[in-house]
Amino acid sequence: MTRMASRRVTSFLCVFAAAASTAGNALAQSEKLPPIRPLSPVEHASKELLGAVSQVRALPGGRVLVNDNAGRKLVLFDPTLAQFSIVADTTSATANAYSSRAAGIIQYKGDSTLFVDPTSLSMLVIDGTGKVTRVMSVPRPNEANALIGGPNGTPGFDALGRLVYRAPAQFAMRGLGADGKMALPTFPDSQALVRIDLASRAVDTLGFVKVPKINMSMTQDANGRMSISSMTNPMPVTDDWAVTSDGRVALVRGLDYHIDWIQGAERHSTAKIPFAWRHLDDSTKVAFLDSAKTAAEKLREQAQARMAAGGTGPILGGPPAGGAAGGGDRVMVEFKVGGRDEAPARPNAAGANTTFTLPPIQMVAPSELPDYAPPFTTGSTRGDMEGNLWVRTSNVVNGGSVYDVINTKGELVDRILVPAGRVISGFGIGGVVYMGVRETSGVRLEQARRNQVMGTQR
Amino acid sequence: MSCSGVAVPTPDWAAYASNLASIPSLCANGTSGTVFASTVPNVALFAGDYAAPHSVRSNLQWSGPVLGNRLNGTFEVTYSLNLNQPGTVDLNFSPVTKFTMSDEGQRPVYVAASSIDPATGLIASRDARVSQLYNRVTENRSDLRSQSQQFRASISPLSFNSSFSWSLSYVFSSVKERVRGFGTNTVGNPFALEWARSNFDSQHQLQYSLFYNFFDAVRVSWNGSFRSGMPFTPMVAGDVNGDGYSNDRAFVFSPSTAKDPALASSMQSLLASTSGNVRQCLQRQLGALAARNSCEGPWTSQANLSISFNPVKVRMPQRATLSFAISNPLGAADLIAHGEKNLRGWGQTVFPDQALLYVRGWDAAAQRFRYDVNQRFGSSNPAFSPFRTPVTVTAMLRFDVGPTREQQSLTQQLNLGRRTEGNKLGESLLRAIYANGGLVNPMATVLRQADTLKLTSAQADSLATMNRTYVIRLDSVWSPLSKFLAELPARYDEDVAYAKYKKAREATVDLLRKVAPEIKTLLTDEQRRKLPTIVTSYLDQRYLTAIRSGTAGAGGAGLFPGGGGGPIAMPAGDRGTTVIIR
Repeated sequence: MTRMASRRVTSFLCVFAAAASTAGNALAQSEKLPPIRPLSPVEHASKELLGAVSQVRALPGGRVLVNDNAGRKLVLFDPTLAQFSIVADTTSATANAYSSRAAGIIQYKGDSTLFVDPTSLSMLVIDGTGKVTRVMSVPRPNEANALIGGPNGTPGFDALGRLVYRAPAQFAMRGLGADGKMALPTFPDSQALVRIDLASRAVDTLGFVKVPKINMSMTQDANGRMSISSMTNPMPVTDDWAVTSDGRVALVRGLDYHIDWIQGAERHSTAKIPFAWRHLDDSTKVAFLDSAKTAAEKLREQAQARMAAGGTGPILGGPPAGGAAGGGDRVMVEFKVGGRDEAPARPNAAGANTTFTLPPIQMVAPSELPDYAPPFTTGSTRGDMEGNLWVRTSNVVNGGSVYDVINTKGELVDRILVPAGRVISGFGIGGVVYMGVRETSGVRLEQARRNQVMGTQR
Repeated sequence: MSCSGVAVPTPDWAAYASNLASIPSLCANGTSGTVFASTVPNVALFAGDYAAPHSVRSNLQWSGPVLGNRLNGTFEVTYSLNLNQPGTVDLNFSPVTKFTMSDEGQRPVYVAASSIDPATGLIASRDARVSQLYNRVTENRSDLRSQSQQFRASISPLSFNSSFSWSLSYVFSSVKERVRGFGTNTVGNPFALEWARSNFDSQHQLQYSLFYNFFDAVRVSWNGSFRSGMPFTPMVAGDVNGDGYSNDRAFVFSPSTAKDPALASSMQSLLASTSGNVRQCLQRQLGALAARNSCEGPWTSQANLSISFNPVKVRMPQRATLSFAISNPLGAADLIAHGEKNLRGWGQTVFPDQALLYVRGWDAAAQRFRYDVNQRFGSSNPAFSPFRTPVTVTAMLRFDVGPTREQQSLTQQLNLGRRTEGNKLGESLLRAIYANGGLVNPMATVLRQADTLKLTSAQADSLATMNRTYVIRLDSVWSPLSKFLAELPARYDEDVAYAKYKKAREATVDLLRKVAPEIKTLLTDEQRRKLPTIVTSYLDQRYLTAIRSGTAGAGGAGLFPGGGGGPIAMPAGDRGTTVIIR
């Protein structure tokens, strides 16, 4: 995720959190909720600043493999995060070049890691020392981008070694409508979670997760100029998913906040996870939409200015991107402007007199917002090394996100407050968490720990 | 004025030449009062409900790989019902039979025997007129119809091959028409409607095309067809039923039963000397009135030859294309092989002589015509045909004078926000546009069809490995160029920009030329046969060489992302092989 995008995410999260916090004052807290506890003080911080800390893979001996999507490099840090070596390089002139686009890492067998390069449709197997040992083909080339993680969820392997990921939505272009005008496709409101056997390439569907629905429309003026606009819901109710370290698959349902567990052929659902639901009255919804629109308009103007200066074109209403430091936060609405972490734009076939103008932001009516703030958004759930699920909730305390920790039984066992400006990007053994924190000139990797930290907040 | 039989003036050409006033303006008997002289006019009109022809057509086609993906097969069935077909009737014709001819299968005659000139056998049709104020009153109607059915089976190699290609098609067709005697032919009442074979009902056809690339320098394309004979009808040269039209089908006299010994002898002679298919047609109908389109002409063949040169190999600019088109090369071969006096008719359109009988007189006592038998009936000898398909050689030199498609595309993109309205394309977008160098990445395409090609994991992994190497090198080629292009000022040198693009393109194609043999080796024969044509061409060294510096002289930009670089598929023959034009 680029820095620009990270700032966007931060802006929207603040808007979202402000609305949630305001509403939350009027709500009673459940007695079942464990106390909110802060993480331990930062144990190690990298000297090297990165473009982003998109994904972190803890290796034996405390070493850490970090995927820097924005900086286009894969870095191997020592246990103190002080020293590092380059596994995949930023430059394109070397054999271990990163990728010309965003790439991802997936925890593989033993201490090995898969580095997914969607550009070349390949997956590099990286051993525990950071060396590339072999190259594999991505199992389904047309879905390679779904393997790089981020807002689509973090791909992982189940207990039988099958790769689990959220398959991209399938929809057909509709071509010309009955009125002779170009009609946009109807975007789905759910996507399939699939698992694939890398040896046989057999695919099966685990289930479906609810995703933010994109509502787009296209208009054409008298001069033939086409304009695409998006009706944005900045607070959608969605599902999320994750693969735990022991290979179980969790489908986290956003409507009532429960989990559907899948372990092999077995499936079971938990009871509702205790959560401090925050009611949104009408005035709160209106205020939230106004704030979200203001923030989005600001982004739109910035994007327009970048385009006028030779930047790349936007994709309106694209999928949510990663967190402030690439850790999987939710962007309510985003004008993607073809940054380095984005899919390549299609060649401009016309080539001449093409002017992109971003349409004004359109938000849904307040009545379409949920009456209770959703507990999380897509890309918020990760599995730690102990088999727990960490769900980044919509609760914000002192600018920091509150993570729900759910154990293997589906019980909410902890609530962890991450310091402001930080997003968890990975986990290590012994309750270690890795975060990225944005600084003026880059993102710094930090290591902290979930342990018996004194003090609680409610 | 119409004069027939005894009413025809005896010409005196010398007198006519010396004195124009001596040219007769009346029939020989000086009047219009006899049946052999007529001055009444012909009339033509359209029926009130006349409508333009229209048709209802339907076809069913299947196309796909056959014979273990070795060939591409196309099978198609077509049916067409053609309505409101044009036809004529003579409103002034009275279909009242005056007598019948027992020698000709009771053929009806619509005039009195006295209206037939015994000396010549010519008929005055006045007796068959409803009104004596007019001669023919031809009404154009649109109440006829026809139906055609066709089955086509085509095969061609599935895989692209820049050296040799071919196609073969077989077509079976059947065309039937609902017709009247007027305008076509008859043996009875010309008002009567009947279904019969169409004049164009050539039922079998073989179409083929061949392409061969000699030494990558001379490309020869030959396409042609073999067609079964067109149907034709044994006719009488003259009017024998008195309807006023020379459209009467012949009675096929049997040498053994014909009452006229001379006629019997002539028929015997014709049957002995004529070709097999004509003889069979006549023997089949001996002693009967000939059926419409009951005979068939011989098979015919036609072909066209095209020769073009690879401009690079013959030291011509890539923008130049020299080609020769030779129409009817079979005619040339016939001339060379057999000489002008012994032509066999190769490559010629055949017009069989349809006249079986010539009217030579009328035997009033026996009430039968005297005929001569045409000994050249059914002959298709080109020596007797006034129509020849010529052999022509057309030389074409084409020179592409415009900027290449790649240059046009690049210039348009770079001018955005600089010289034309729009947003200037930034480095990342330019990089995205040229991520594959504007060319097809065959490895990525193959990987994306892994299921179709049934790639093994080992194959897929190998392809991914090769692809990653290729993509990384590609990035090292195009990223600096994208940066350079993005930083160009408003006033930039288009030629310099294009030169850099061209250099990067050539480097990209060079990479493909290195990796292409490895990709081909990696795949099995069956998998190679399943490859899309576009991928196959990108694995062909000749093709890659041809597009290395651009598509100047070849066209085809727009088929591929990034401004061209792909082949143009052009039909080489009737409907078969495609030839890649470089």
